[in-house]
Amino acid sequence: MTAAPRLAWRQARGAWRHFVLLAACVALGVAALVAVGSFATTLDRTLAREAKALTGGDLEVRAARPLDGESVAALAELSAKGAFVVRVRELAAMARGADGRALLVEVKAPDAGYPLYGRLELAPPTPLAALLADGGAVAQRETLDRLGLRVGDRLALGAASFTVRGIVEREPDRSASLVTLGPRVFVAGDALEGTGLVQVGSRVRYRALVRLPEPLAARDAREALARHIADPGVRVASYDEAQPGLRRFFSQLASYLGLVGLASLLVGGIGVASSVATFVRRQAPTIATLKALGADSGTRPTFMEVTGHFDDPAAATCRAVADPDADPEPAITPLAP
Amino acid sequence: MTRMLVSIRALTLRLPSGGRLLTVLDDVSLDVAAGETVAVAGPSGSGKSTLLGLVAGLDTPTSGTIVVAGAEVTRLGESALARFRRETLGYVFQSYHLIPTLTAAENVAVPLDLAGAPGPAARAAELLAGVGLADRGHHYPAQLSGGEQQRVALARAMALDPPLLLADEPTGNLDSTTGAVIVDLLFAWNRERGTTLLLVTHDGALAERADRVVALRDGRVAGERRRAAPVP
Repeated sequence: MTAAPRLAWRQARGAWRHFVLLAACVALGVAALVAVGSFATTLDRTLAREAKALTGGDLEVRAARPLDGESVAALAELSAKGAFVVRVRELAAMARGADGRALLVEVKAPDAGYPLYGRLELAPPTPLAALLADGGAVAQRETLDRLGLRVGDRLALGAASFTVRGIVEREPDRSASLVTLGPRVFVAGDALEGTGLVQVGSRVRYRALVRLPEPLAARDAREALARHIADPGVRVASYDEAQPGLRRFFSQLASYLGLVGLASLLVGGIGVASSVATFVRRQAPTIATLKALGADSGTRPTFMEVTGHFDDPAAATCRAVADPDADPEPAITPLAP
Repeated sequence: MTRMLVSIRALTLRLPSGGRLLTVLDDVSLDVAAGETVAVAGPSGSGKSTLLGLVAGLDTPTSGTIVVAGAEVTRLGESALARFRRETLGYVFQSYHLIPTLTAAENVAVPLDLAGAPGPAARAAELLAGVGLADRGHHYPAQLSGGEQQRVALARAMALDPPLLLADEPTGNLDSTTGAVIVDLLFAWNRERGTTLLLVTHDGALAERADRVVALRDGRVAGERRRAAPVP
């Protein structure tokens, strides 16, 4: 090893704290950015993989009022081509237990065949249609807990009363929306009429979920449907463009976290700069000493550098001349080892 | 005819200060013969340390010439100046200026490393033994006393056996007993190796041991006297 690398190694050995701090700052900043990037990518992939389950089908037709003639006709046309259509109605309602306790819940009333994609996990693991038949209902555990109910108890929705037959453990198309009005209660589609909750002015969401036969592409089918349905209140979406709010939220979250990561990197960079500046400042007397010993470099050391007057050689000399009692060459500030 | 190792002629240094020029050294001329010991004495602020720095090429004079071992110091380029410092002089500072992150042995080895001398570690150990610090080579400067640090600095200054040793208040930070050890080493090298010694000191007793004492006052040579009789 020649002199320069050997000296550099010996100096670095003495200043390992600076180098550890420097490496830690860079590593943390990069790790934060990589973590944010991986998180965003994982979310995106998960959304893509689960897109059909989250949408509930290859296509979703959604409206705030009952699907009218042209929508029904368009869906019938798709059915004729081999598509399978399930209608679902969703609304918020007050559920009441036997003791009069009430709870705002989100009611979902699907036709037979739901869900088209993904798994609806129920306890007991019985087909949904069997549990909902003859005035049955299934609810999230939270619904039962808050109403003080158990499986087998009665639950009232509007004018109708249902028997709780099971618990919903997982629902595939209940998106991770930020706001829900309450826990879920499932009732049969035809039983919803008996509640009296579906009236003019009710806030009911009407959905038609479509599973397309193999040769039909979701996008093409969506465009065909959209052409048939002129009503701007009816929204038609294919699975790959569904959950736009969710995607936008995650995209913004990833951007925000990325900004936080960048800010951390910036702060880390300031830390690195400060650490390096301190290190270099502390090395100045050493560099000056090395030059006085004959180290070759592009900068000529001044006498004042070597003796410790780094900032203002003239002022130091001036002090010495003006005050003969003062030490003209004050001792160099001892360096931390 | 005596060979002059150092020849200083009409040396002047002026530095800008507060909008005016401050004269630190004014028309200083001085010769130092090879093998001679010369003490530069004078009150604080008289410019004696600055004179030493100029001889080492650590600063540039406003005018005048400095010739050391045949080399005109003020005209040397950066590389030549570095080589000049390595080959021609050793420098001992009042505050030792050891590199704090290096052990005593590594500090002594620095000039050897810089010069590419063979076996720097063995030579450094030898030099440390020469100043009575054979067993302190692995200690860092912070673990050494002031006197020990100055002995390490002396070993470092003499590592390449330079013909000229510049010592700036070498005992200034030491008590009289410890200082005497350092002074003995300096003069021993002068006797045994013929090293020319140019030292700056406040200490009258130390100055008296030199062959010649040059007094500086307000940047000018105020007087000069030779030692009457050799020190026994």
